[in-house]
Amino acid sequence: MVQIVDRIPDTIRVAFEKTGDLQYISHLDLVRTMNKILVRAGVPLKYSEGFNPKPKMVFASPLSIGVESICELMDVKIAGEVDLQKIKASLERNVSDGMKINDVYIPSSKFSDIKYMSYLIELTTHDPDRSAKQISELFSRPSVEVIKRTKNGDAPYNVKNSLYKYTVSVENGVIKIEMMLFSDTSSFLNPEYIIKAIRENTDALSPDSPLTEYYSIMRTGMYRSDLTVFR
Amino acid sequence: MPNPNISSVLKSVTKPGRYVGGEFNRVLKDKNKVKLRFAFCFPDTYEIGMSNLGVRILYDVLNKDPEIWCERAYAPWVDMKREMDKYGLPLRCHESGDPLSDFDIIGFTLQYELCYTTALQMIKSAGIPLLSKDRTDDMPIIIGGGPCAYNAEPLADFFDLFSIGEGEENLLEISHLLIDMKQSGKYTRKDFLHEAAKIEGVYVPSLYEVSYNDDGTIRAYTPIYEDIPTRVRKRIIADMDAAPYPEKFVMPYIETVHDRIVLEVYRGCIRGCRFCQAGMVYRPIREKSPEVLCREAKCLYENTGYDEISLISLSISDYSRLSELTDSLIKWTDDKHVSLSLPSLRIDSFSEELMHKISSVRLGGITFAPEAGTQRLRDVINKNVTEDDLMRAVGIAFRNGKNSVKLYFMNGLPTETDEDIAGIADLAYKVVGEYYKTPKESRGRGVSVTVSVSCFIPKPFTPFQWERQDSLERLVEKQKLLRDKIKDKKITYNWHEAKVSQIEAVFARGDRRLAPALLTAVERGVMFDAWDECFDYDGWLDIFKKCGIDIGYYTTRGFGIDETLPWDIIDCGVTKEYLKRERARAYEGVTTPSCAEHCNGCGANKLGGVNKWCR
Repeated sequence: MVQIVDRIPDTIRVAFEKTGDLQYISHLDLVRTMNKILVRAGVPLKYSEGFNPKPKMVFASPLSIGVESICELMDVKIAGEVDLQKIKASLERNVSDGMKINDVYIPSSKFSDIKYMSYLIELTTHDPDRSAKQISELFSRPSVEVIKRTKNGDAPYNVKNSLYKYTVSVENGVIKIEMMLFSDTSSFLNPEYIIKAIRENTDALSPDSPLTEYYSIMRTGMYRSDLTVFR
Repeated sequence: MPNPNISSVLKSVTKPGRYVGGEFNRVLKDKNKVKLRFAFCFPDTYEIGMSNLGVRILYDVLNKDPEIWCERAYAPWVDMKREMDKYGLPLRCHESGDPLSDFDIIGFTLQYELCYTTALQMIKSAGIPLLSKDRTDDMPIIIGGGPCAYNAEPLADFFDLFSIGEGEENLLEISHLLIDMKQSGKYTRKDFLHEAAKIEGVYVPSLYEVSYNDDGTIRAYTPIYEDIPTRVRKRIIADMDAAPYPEKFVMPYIETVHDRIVLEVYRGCIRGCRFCQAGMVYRPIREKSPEVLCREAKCLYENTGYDEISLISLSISDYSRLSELTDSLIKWTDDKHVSLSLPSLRIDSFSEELMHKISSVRLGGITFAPEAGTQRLRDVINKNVTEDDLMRAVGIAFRNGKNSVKLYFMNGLPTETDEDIAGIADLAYKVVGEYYKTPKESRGRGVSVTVSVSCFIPKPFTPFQWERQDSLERLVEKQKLLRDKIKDKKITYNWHEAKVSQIEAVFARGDRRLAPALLTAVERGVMFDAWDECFDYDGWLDIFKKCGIDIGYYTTRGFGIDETLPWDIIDCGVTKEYLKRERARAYEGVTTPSCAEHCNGCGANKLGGVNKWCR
């Protein structure tokens, strides 16, 4: 009896978290770090051709410095057969604080299908109730402009063009903003600009008190156009 | 520095990854279960400090001892320093996040003189008094090591002790003396320093009094106790094959200067270039065997995942078993996509065969260091390289498709004339000519020759240690002369800022009387002098003027051949008689053969060590 199998997969997808102090590591440095983690873990990597062969890795969406994530995805080209459970275990042994390997699987989707990304922003401010009210008021305006850096120089940008939906709440004295941003290239927004808008339009996050007023940004999910979780 | 409250600070500074630690392979211990906490400090940025092999070796050695926990600290960059000062945040170690003041020993590696102010700023940022005499029994012991420790006199008032030479054994002995004294309840700083001064390789500057002659030169160093040595002899590791070497490196998340596996192939140098301090103070030559090096390379590859191995030494082609080593490495590195690089290639050893083996040569440009423009001056400095050697080497490079060559030279060498400077330009033109002699079909398209010229600094423990440094005006004049001689667009001329070399010379040749200048500089916020954007020459001139220090005394004056030198208190193995002989030969224009050809009686063999060349 001949069993018909799909072609041998040439790509594995790694789902991982990048939290804590790792938020201060740039995307470029993460790529270099991942490269070494994969080598240490003994993953049979497929290398590019040419003078300076490099492993082939693609990330779903680069994170900015200062943004944590619990939902990162990376595709890695492999050469040869792999045992996904073994790879997961071996990757886990080779990461340090702030990085966590959640899953290793054979991908059946393309990163271009990601249409939304959700973020959780937490703010510690001197007067959270007052700040939360100001923030809710701010985002109920039809237009919230910040100066955004683009390839063609600085230009005003309405952050609401990138904001699909959001909620603002206060829990135990911490302001929580849960929001979903469009992630297609034309309206992709670094969530840091949301902070910029808050800083410029409310009393929160005064630059004079960085040790007592601070914030964190966590990417919490990636979604398809029908709002199902992208995997 | 894990501390949630400083997240806003970290988000506001450049390269925050410098400050967070958390690296893979770092060593974590329970601070309550160790007997001694050691803060290993590198007085420069994280990217530079993480690349230093000495730190990697000593971090590993100290942490292999179950009674010791060694952590790392680096200098915060200017923007971070400003924030830390503003909010009163102390300097912390990467592993535990504890402030430096919590440690028993704070150790600095002193790699270049222009890091002195940065080291002192780090002590200040830790809230620890700068002067050794102001520190009390409950404060950390501050120690220094590395190449600058061979003449650390400018830092004598600030540091409690210096570890002279190779630190693998010495630092453990110092640490255990401190552990024992603290455990027995007999610890005082004073008693500890007295006992430590009896350990070979330990120099406690406060236990030596310096007296001066009427003309301001040094009369003598006098030990204040009878039971401490009158001269401190440097330490070496006798058998390099048996020496500890890290099985893993702490893996930086951010890109560092040398982000790769480094294998230390041997210590010392057989050459004896007369301007080179490293070539003298790291003697005698002690090689590692290819078997040990291959084992270390494999182990490090598995524990780091790096894709490059660099073979380091002072002159890699002088390693007696180089082919054997590269052949056995290439056996497995090619399959793993790991490349080999060989810095420090000598012109006369460059061959077609090496060129094909070594990926650092396959990629990118090629660098050679003729150091001087004429054969006469190259003989004076004992470089032992000829113009023919250089033309042969660049010829090989050009025939193999290379089109970019970098040449290193020095200005201000003893006996240098305008003719020698013109010779630099001539050599560069001849290298361009060599390219055009290469058949068109085998050479790359378009040639580029870069001429980089630094300024000579008469360094301690070299045959040129007594020499005068050219005045600033003369150095600038020489740079201009060379600039006028180079008209070809294919030649790029870079020169090192003479002002920087002058200040560097002051501290390289300095004595204890420079302490007030360093103190004033720290008060004024001076740090990162080795960085162009931070170096303030006029600021330094003002500081020296205010402190009544004549920099000419240390630079253009030169030192008398019978004068007591600030570094005479240290015995680095090589004798003064040898250095004097070599100086005389320099003035005669006579070269000295390498240790491989002939023993020249430098004196370093008295230190012992398993080696091939010394008798």
